[in-house]
Amino acid sequence: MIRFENVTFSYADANYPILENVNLTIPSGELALVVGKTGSGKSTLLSLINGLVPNFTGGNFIGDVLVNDRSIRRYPPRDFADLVGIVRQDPRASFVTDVVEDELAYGMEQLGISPSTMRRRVEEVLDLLGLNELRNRSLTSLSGGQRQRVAIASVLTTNPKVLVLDEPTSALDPSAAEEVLAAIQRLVHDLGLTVVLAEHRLERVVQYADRVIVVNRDAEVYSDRPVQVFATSLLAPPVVELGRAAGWSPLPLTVRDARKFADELRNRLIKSKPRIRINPPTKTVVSIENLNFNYSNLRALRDININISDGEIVALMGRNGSGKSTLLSQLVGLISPTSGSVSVNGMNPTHMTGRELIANVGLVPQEPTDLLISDSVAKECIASDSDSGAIPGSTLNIFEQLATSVSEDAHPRDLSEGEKLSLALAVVLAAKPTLILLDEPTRGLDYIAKVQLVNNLQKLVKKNHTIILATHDVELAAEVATRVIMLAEGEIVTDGPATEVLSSSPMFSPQVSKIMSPANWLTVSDVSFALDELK
Amino acid sequence: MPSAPRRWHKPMFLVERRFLHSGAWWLWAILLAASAAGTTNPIFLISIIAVVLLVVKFRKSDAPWSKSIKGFLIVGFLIILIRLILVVITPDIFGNTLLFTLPEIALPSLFAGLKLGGEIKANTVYFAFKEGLRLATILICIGGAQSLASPARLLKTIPTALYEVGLAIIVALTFAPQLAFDAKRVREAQFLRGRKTSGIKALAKTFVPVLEGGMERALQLASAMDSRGYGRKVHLSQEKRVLSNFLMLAGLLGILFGFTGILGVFNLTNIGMVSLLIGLTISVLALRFAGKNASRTNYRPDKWHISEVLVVTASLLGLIAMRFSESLVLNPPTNPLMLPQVDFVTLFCIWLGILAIFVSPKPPLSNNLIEHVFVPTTKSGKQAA
Repeated sequence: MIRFENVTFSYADANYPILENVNLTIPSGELALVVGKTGSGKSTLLSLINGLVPNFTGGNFIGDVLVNDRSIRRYPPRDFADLVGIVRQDPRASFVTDVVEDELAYGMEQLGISPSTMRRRVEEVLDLLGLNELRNRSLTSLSGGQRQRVAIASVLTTNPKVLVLDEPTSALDPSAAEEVLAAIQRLVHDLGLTVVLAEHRLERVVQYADRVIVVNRDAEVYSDRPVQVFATSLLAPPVVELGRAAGWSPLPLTVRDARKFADELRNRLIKSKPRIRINPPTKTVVSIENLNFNYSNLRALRDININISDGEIVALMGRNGSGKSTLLSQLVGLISPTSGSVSVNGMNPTHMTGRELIANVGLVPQEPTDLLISDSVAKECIASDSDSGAIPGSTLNIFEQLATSVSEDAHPRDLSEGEKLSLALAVVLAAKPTLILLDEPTRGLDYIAKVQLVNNLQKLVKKNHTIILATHDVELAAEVATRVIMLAEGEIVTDGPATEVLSSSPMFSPQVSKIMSPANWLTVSDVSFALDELK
Repeated sequence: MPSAPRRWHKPMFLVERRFLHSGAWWLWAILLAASAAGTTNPIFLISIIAVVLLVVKFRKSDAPWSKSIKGFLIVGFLIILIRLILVVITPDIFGNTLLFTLPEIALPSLFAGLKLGGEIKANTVYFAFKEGLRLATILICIGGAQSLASPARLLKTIPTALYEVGLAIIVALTFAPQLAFDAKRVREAQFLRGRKTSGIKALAKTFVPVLEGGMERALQLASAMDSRGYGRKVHLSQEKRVLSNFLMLAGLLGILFGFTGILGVFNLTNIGMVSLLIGLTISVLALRFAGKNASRTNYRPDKWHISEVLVVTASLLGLIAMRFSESLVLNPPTNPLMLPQVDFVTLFCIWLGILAIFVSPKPPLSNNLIEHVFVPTTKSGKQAA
């Protein structure tokens, strides 16, 4: 169905090719999972499938890509609209109209499909993806999972043979992600669609993949069956890591496969306990009392009471739109409570002056680049030093500790996701805030960048910073959090130690916990630490 | 047998919530803008602004694009302000009513014809105000259309043959609201870094990132549209494409020249009429020519119902009345200084524009309860230490 023939591509301003000599064949009806580090060229590979790269980006393109024997050299992307449906990382960026139903019809209108057929297909696709209740909704009013399903639906109406998805679940909470993946699987099974999907959160998608394409900057791009790839791959979901640590063979790819080995491992570890991760508290940093907050017509937060001490890493979890980001905004003084009080280090953040504020609390927003204002790393660091009144050079120093060698002249926009996050974190840390807030920090991070983030966070806590993360990433919460607070519709549902909360929730439990239950293990690193001690 | 008292029932076409045809709102607004272009009478102009604002108030939807009117109001106000400030450096041509005297700064001979400060005449100020107000009114009319008509629905009415033009228009339409969104984002970033979020310096610092963000989004939108098939099946050769674009441009220029002529800017009513007709003909031919090979269908298109006709008529009446109004009323004299006179028939006809509220259905609710933005509002005026 899709053929890459000797493809070499480099962007116009780059001095080395991002993809080199790629030869791939993706047969019809398969779900191909594209894995690779951030910045390895996954998105470029996906965009080549309908010719958006190089037609829209420019650059140096050698070789050819053929979809159903149609060449991207001969046809512009618009002539692939009936063949390839492409959904980008942020579906909002690909919406063209403003209402769900119109968005579904848009592609067909361009193809000149007759009004009666259009009407029928819109109804069919609405049913297929369970969107009928949303048909009149404005696109801006949708939740993350709904938005993703609408984006998929809107490219399905043209009856494409290939569906290309770039990180379809990275912004979604676990249940919304399952909703989307279930829909995708139905398309592969029922309609025989060929799906090419890139995703960092492998734990969510590996079980659906028929084939894995490994994109690696330093080596050739190749595709193979999942078991073969994950036997050696550096990037692997926790279940695979656990299998390697425990020496299981054949290597399990799904929680279900792994549970067959679990009894044996539980017996081996019967006398061991996970490491204790709670640091002894000395003083209260955050205190929230009876906090209520209303948007114009929505109660976003209700009766929130939280006390957080130093040395805690708190994971705020819950569905998209459950009030996590709003709570963070309250803590940093961007918005003030409708009623109740918020205090950080005994002061109200909305009353702090700029300098006071950043010395007490710092927020790394969902999109780390939002925080960055300069056009090079060096300038960004100088600006940050002067903002925070730190000794010149300190931001750069922190950044170099967080991220490995990055050119100082690089534009922050051109950094990899992990480097962007490190830079934003360095900017925040320059002012030495006691409280550090991170909004969805692992969006777009591969496993390696995530390990680096986890290490950095653990180092910070040892230096008496308090950290609050709003995240959908169960594995991250399992890895670092000492405490988990679950929000639903603006209310606190659960608040307790991470081990208890995460192992008892069906939706929010990490893979290791699912495999090892009823024993209380959350992460691969805990298990392998215990295994090492046994030796 | 006495008949039961007749009760007023809302006619069916007003009961059902739906979007009015975008073209109807744009026509309604353009006709009002045309009325505004033909007069400098502040009473007429303010009436037109009031009509636009009232209709927007009662007929805008809850979608994000409906909020754009605010921006236009601010820009309109700025235009008047700038025009008044410019009085200080324009030479006094007319008038004898002295308002006050500023200290005059002698300018080098290079700037002959300009002066800085000196006597400020009430007549000049009044003249400047009228001119500024007229421009502001036209802008607010456009803003009204922007807030009333969904840009996405407007987009549907653009012929496929005009791929490049259509793309430019769509990108421009989505640009403004996104700029506002980006501006908020950047201001929040500055806040999070402990910087000032108010003041001219802070504003200047938001400028570049906001423009950058806007450009990036525009590109994303364009590529998204392309991969969804926008502009497909236009298999025209390069020459034909250039020719049709040239024809279209010529047609539009003709229409533009025609309108300016008719509206009396150059006092060329007859030539204006002819030019308008020729322009229209060329445009239609160009569309026919280019659209021959383009096929594109419309999903549940907006239809032109009775409401649409009535809405357009409502603002057409004002424009017609103005053609019959006296020139002293339309353009009140600046010297001698006197209160503008009003012709009540014209004034009444302008206010008829407000009927648009009563003859059009309410827009549907889009359930815009939750907007997943990173933070809802920014406190302004917070100062850094």
